[in-house]
Amino acid sequence: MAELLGPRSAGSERFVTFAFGTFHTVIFIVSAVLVLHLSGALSGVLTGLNTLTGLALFAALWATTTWSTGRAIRGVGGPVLATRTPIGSVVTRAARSGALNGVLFLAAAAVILALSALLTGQGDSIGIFILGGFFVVLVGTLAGATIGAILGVLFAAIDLVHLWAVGRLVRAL
Amino acid sequence: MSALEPLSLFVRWAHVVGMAAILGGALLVWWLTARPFRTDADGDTRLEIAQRYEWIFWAAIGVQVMTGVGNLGAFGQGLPAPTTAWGLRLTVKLVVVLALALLSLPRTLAVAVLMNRPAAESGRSQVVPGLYAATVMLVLVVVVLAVWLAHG
Repeated sequence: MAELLGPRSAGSERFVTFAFGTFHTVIFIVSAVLVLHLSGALSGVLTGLNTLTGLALFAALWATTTWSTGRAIRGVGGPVLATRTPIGSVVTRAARSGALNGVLFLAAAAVILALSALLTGQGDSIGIFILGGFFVVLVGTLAGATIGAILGVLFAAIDLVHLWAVGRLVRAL
Repeated sequence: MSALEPLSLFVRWAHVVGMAAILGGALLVWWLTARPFRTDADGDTRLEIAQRYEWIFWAAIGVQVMTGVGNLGAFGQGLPAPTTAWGLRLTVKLVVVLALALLSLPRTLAVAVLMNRPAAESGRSQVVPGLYAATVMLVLVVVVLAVWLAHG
């Protein structure tokens, strides 16, 4: 794909990173909502969150995903599309960045939920978050990293298909 | 009035504004790319406008999903089951939103690629208006479903 982006590619990296990061977040959340809706569990999950907490959780996921996507893109040698990186290297990088994203989001979610409990007068439940903190460190980190790595590789595969399709489309012009 | 009611109103306002930005922007870029300026023979200005729209599009679709989930949360336990007519419409809307995101990434990447091609080559591109036309059609389906969900 080296020929897809030319000498003007440096300015496109931020643009492409934001698009990929938002794309990953949107696909993940909409798919999750769809699965929860079809299984009848959506109202139960949403009732457990107030609006502000839900918005904060989404914003945190959006931020960590865009950041980790940018990290993965930079890690494969510069502006995406402008490199001939082997697929194996892309997958490895995507798994690492996805794992980091999973851990970061889990930590952000723990802080947001603890703050939400304090702000909504459920301070008694803060002990759950302190105990939960130990859980996050011991088990949650592993779970977050594993789920994040799997999703990272899955999204890398989707991204590569998109890049391949765009390469063919643009070459056909 | 509870403290969260103004926030719920803001969430609904942001959802409508985000959709207006996505649909209005796609219509504008489609029109501009389908009927280029005489002074923009190489297509650089069109692609610059398209790239600015792509920033707005991805920011807005992120806001749409964030506020859309917030709107669903406002139903609480009263959220209709997927087997109801309303629930079926929501299922269809979610699938169309997924399709919109999946088909929008190639559009964004095509703009990024054409932006980095020599001006003389990118000026020949006829694919850009088609990509925005497809975006407008898909977004219109989402809008119709959204109105049907809200008022049907």
